[in-house]
Amino acid sequence: MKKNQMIAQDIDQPVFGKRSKMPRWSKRLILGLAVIISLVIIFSFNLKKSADLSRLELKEPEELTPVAVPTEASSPSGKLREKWRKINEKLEKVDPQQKLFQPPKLNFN
Amino acid sequence: MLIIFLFSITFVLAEKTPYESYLFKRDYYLSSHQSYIAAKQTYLNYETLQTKEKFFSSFKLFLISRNELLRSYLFLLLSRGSEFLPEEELEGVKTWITWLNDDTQQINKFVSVSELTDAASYLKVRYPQIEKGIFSFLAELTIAQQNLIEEDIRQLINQISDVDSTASEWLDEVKKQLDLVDQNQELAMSRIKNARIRRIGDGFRVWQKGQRELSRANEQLEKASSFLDEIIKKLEQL
Repeated sequence: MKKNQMIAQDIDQPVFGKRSKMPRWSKRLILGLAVIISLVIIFSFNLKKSADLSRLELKEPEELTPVAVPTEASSPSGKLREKWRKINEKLEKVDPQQKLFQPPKLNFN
Repeated sequence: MLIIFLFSITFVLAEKTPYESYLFKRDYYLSSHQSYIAAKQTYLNYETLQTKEKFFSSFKLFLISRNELLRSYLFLLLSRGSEFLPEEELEGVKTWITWLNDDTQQINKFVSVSELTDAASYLKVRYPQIEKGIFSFLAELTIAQQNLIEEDIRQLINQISDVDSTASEWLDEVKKQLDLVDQNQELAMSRIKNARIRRIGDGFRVWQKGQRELSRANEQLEKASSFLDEIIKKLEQL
């Protein structure tokens, strides 16, 4: 075998193990699909997350507000203060004008 | 094709909240209204078969999108109301949703501009009463929220009187505020429910009057809360 032929054979051979028999176009297809599926998963996760967040915004403050406020909860006045705080937080969230839930302006002309 | 398919599935699977759905329908309604106005103007200026066809389709789309917008708003009210109001209070809103569904189905069947013109008036005739119902529902919603707070305040009053028997005079002042809250709520509801509604917009004017009483009721709740703050401060100093 000539020297040039030996070099060409070396280039074709994989460094470790045998070269896969799978055609190059199918490898690309699998890779492409994997990328698309992972993008879709990430995208749907983000959408779900944003939907959850906006749902949280509509929920009542009592479910959103952190319950644990450091107080001297063991004393009777501490317990009363704690309850008063919760009432006050609820009160701040009541909108008697219901601005967020006003009906849409419809056109009848 | 595959990407479009996968993305459309993603959009379908991503669940919309009632508020998001309402905002989406509102944008769609506004754009369909613009298209309807443009198509109508074109038809009036150049009366051809093509402009007539375009006017008809945009008119139909406008009426359907108007119904859909109102329907999505009522769903939003339902979801909000179900957090505070009993099931029977939601029945009125459900009835309007059913009526809107039927109306949309009817509009879909129409094939001429004259039929659509008649259909456009169905909601117009019914809307003043729907509007009154909506504002009455909003008032009930506010009252339900205020009542929950009132209940908490009454519980707190009982707890304070268990801890300190000398606070009864100050607690009576808090109770007086709560009685005023009840009075204002009753006044607001009677104003809204007994109001005569003749045309579109009357409901809003009535709401403004009733809403003033509800704002007053809220102020009285705030006053009751500040009184309680003072009473608790006094207890803390003991």
